[in-house]
Amino acid sequence: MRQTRLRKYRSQYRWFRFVSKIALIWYLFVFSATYFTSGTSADFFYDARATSEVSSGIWLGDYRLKFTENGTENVYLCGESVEIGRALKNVGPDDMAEDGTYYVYYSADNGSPQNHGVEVYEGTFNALKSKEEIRLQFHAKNIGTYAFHVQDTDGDKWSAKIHVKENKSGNKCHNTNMTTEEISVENEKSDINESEEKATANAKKDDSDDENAKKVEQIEQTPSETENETREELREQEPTNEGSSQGKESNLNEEAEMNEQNDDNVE
Amino acid sequence: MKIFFKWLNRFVTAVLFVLLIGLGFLVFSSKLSGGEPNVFGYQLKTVLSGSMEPEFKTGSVIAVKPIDGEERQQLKVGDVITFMESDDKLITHRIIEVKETGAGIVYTTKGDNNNAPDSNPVLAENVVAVYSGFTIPYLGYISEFSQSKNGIIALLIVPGFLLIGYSGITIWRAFHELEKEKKKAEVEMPKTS
Repeated sequence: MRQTRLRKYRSQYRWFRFVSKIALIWYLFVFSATYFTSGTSADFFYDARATSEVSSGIWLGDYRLKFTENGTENVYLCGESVEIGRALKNVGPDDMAEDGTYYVYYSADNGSPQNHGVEVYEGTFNALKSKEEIRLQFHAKNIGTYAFHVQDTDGDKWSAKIHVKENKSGNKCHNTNMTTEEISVENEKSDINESEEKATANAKKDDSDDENAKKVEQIEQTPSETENETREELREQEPTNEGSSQGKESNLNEEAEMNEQNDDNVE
Repeated sequence: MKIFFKWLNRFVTAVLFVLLIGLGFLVFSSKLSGGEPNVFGYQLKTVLSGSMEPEFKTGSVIAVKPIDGEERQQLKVGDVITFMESDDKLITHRIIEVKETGAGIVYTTKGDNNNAPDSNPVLAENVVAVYSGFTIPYLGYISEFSQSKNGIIALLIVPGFLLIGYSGITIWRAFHELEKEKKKAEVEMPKTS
């Protein structure tokens, strides 16, 4: 009787026992999942890189600008304008960090553009490396005195004055790198050469009349030889013109005149 | 149907016994060895973030092999290591560079899914374990959830109450059955007498 009842209950409550087993397995599973595992962060992060510039000051470098040409320059105005310029060199140990600016100052009279002049032009030049030299230029249109002005880490730098003069007496139109004293001495020299040239030309005319008959025959035979002789004679007559480009020009002119005269004689 | 239920019941019983014996052994051995609980020499780690995807997914459980001494100095580029980032924080990332410095060997690590290496290099002494390659996906979610307040309620307390309720009903039905039989016996007794 007792065994029968036990068997009866066992079969009747088998569901309860089954559910209890499932629940026990569940609890064991949850326990093991929590007991045996621990977290590892495997850190996840995103690294965004932003490129930006923070300027805490500008280092210009130790560059020194210097106008390398000393002395006042005289330039004669030919046509509407004349190009004037000054050499500028970076004599400092560092390169320039950025392009530079130069100014041209002008004074109508012979006074100093630095003190009495007005700014007539503003230009830029490429950053100079250490020991690099460039030439600053400006087309001057007015008679007067000009000067170039730049700034460096030391402060203001002024070039020597450039006098732009009116070309009254047919002076050279290109620039001359001479001081005022040198220019005046050169002008005196050229005046003397011109008077000498005139004198020798007159003397030659007299002599040439006597020798013309002889030369006609020679020219007819060997014109090139005659020309060479004529050149030698001219050189002997005008030793003072040697070394002067202006003097050489006048010699060549006279040669041309002489040739024309000879041609006339031949005819 | 009866046969199916019979076999199912046997299977569940077998699983229960295996679990009970296995867990008992593991817990006992872990307690004996001290330190962090491990399973056959491997520690199980829940992956809490996606920095190492697709090597292992967030929420998976990975098995790592604890190392010490010389082994820490012999890791190479490409190994996935678990290291101590701070006293209470473990990180699992891949070695991308090994450097030998005056202070010892230093590893530069990076998560596969991160776009930049970790900011701090890892000293060899701080390496705890090496990833073994064994992963159980999604188990970590259950583990993590079960350790949370809501998880404890949902996974432990509610099933517990349900089981208690079901057992109460079963007991009540049993008593009801007993009373029923008792009354039946009382009715039958006068007849026989």
